[in-house]
Amino acid sequence: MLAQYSLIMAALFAIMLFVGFWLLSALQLWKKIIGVALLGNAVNFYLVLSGFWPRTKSTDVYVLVSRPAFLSLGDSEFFSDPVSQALVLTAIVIGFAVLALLLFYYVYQVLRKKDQL
Amino acid sequence: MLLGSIISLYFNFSEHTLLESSYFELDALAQYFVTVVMGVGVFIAAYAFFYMKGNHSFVKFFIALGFFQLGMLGLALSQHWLLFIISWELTSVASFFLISHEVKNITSQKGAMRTFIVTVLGGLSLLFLAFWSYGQTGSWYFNDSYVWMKGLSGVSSVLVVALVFMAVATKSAQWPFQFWLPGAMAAPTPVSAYLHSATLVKAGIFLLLRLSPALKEHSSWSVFFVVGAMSYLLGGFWAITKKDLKSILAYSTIAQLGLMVMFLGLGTDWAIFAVLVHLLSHAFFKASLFMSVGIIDHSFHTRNISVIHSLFKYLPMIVVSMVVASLAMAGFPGLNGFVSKELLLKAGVYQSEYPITLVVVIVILGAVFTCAYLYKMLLQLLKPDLSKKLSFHHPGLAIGLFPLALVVACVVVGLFPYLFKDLYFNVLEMLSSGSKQDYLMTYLKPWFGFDWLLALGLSSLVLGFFYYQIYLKQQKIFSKLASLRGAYIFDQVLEAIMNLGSKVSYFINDSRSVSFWLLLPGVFSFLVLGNLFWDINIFDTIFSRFDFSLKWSTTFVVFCLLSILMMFSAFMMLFNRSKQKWVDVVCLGLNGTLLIIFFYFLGAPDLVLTQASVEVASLSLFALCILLTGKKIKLKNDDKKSAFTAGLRIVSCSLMAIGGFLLALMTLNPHTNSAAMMNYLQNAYTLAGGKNLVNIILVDFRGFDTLGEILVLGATAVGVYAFLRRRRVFKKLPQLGLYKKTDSSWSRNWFSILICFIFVVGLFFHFRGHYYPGGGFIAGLVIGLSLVGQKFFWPESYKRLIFFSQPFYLLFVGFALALVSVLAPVIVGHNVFRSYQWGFFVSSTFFDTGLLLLVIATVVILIGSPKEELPEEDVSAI
Repeated sequence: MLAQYSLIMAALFAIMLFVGFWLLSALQLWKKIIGVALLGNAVNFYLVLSGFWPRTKSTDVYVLVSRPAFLSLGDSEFFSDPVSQALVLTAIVIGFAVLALLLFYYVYQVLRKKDQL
Repeated sequence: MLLGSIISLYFNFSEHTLLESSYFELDALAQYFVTVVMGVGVFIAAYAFFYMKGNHSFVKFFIALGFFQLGMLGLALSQHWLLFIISWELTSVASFFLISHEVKNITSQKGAMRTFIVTVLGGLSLLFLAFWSYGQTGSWYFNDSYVWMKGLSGVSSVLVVALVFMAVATKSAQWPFQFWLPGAMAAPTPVSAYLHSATLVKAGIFLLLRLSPALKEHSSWSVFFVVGAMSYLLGGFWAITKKDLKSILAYSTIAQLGLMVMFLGLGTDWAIFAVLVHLLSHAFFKASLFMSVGIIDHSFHTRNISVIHSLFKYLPMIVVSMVVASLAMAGFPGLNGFVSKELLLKAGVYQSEYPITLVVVIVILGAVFTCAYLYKMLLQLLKPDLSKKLSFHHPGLAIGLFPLALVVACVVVGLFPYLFKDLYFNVLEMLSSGSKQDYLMTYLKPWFGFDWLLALGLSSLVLGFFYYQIYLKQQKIFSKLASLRGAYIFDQVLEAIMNLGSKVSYFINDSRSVSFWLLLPGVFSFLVLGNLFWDINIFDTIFSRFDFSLKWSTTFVVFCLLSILMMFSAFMMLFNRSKQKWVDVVCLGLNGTLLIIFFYFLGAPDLVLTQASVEVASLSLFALCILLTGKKIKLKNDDKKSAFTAGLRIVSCSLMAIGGFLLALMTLNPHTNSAAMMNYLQNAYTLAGGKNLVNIILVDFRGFDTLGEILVLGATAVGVYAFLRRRRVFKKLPQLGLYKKTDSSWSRNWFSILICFIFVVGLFFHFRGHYYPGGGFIAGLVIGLSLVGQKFFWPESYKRLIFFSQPFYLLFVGFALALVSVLAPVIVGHNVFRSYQWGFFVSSTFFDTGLLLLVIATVVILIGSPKEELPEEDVSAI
């Protein structure tokens, strides 16, 4: 595989991780929540990437031929891994639910402080 | 539960298949213990039914009681260490819930907590013993463990006995762990009667009986004699200083348990026999006394003996049963206590390990204490006092029958002690090596003739009275002597541990402390980087895989552009100094949207659909949140941190990023298709009848995982819902007027058509899921969003649109449908999770529909749950 793809993807993952952890360690709850959401995106991205297989069709022409895993699309050799995708699909939905929980917790914190004032 | 008790009493266990397996076995000892637990259980259950009538959580109480009985049964029957420990802990947990039954009473909460911590300590030591035994013998069964224990010597034998001691002393409230039992008296009285006098506290005795054949030869076994004697005397001494009826009984229980532990420490056949008889007697008279006290508590609303007087006038029947039960405890001839006391004395005489005088003196001294506090209790309750009127309401005659019935049992057993002969005989045959059982059984008689033991036994009745007189004269000295409180020390220790915990938690968990920035990322990067540098070749292998020539192609350009945009969105979040929340939300949205495009290029169309609908849903959530809390972030400045912490923050975040980078480089490389994927590929059409592998994995191959995942999802939704409903501040949510009546019917109609369209698209996604991108999760998100949209645009019609008044029901229906469709194949004798195909239609569609309903409900709950008044339906507008 070409190093160019791997390097770009790894760098992107690393940057998202950096920003995610940076926000997660902020003092404001709001920033923390944004950080959690961003980290979720980063990890989902990485998981899907790990099942992705950019390959060459011939020695000269580099083309990405990873295909969604549908039996109707023929050659199974070029499918990207459906296992990690199934994993990520539920992770996205659960991530959404967790985000909702965190946001309502945020609303609670803010309203409680208002209540005391 | 009553039914369960009766069934388990009369059901022939050994014919049952589950119990035939070697995990559970109804041996003689189990038979004995089950008889005690279930025999008293029948009375208690019936009594509790009357006692708890009208209580706010009647059902919860009986559920916990049922769990407790389950635990006791498991404890008695299991022959397997792990099952035994699970049952042991189950009784502790059930006991916790039963003690803390009155949720608003702080003393009962504290008592429950103390009990739980102490008993769990014992459970832990038992667990340690079990693992040790498993490590040595390679088997979890008691029989193998006995052999190992018997052969022990030196330090390890002492350690084993110490572990057993921890378990026994915590469970059976022996010194120095006796203090939890008086605290546990905050429980409802049926619980005190059942758990804390008759059964739960006997679990320690039961464990001692189980292990005594294996361990009693060890010299360290005598610790039980010493500690038992101490608890016996101290319990009796403390009991007389108490004024609360239940406290008196609690200390008396400690004393009686100490007596049993002490005799088990002797380890002779005689001692075991006497303990077996005494355990049964004690269960009967103590449970009866507790029931009477419960009735007194109920009718006078106090348990203080200095307040209550002339009890005979109010509750004659209770007085009768209390007096008889007390006489039984004091060892009056003709009652079961007399038989067991005589047998205990004889057991003290027929042994050679300890001086006979010592044992007899301890027993008699304890008996004097017992008689003294019984005198105190009864005389104070009965003393006539005409000056004060007590507030009293009659508890009804029916409930008074239960203590009376147990007292009758005391008399019957006292007159015919050989009733339970078989029970004792079998246990003795099992536990003792000798053949004295027949000889011992001849001692099961109501009267032993006149001898010096009888004289000693009866003298304690008299001496007790004198002792009581001394107590009356010297009350101050007594209360001073009894003021050392185990519970106080325990609380101090617990508080110290809590303080230590909060300090540690600050050290590793607070973002303002320096150590936080070092510890967590430090450990992570140490693991990752350390692993990398340990084996330098990893770098070689990474780099040898790659072709470093740069090849331009359209795909690469697209990838580069997308990556740059995505990095841009991330950096915008990092460098954003604005206090506006919208900026963060927009950056996150950009990030998510770019992720959608990435998913498209990475060959994941299902994820494209999911991420897109989640983006919409999150955006509406964020909007809702911002509307409720204001547009700006409240200032809590990061600059307050020192430069050092800020530097550490940068370093540790960078370390995490570098770790992630290396991880990605190591894993994102050419590889063959995974074995799991190939397996799914080959079987997808034949077994699951579909062509979209992602969906097939979700609803078919890995259906069990999905079931767990939707459970998590549903739990989160329920959590959010409960959070919004229960917290006081949410009741005062500002009315945003989100759900306004729409003015123009023109726009409303167009929106409705759009929403209907989205709804139909959702259904379309759902039904084609097995073959093309789509499926329950995606369709659920889309349809849920369309419903929420309907709520916003046309709230009047929303109520009619959703068939359930609460989205909750939809949640449960969805989960139930998924569960049923998974379990249904069992009916026709196939395995769970099996799928059937009828032409194009696949049975796992039902499972998928369950997912659909659950996800719809989740979305509706999460986005639509803030309490907003829906305007009344305007009939004319339709």
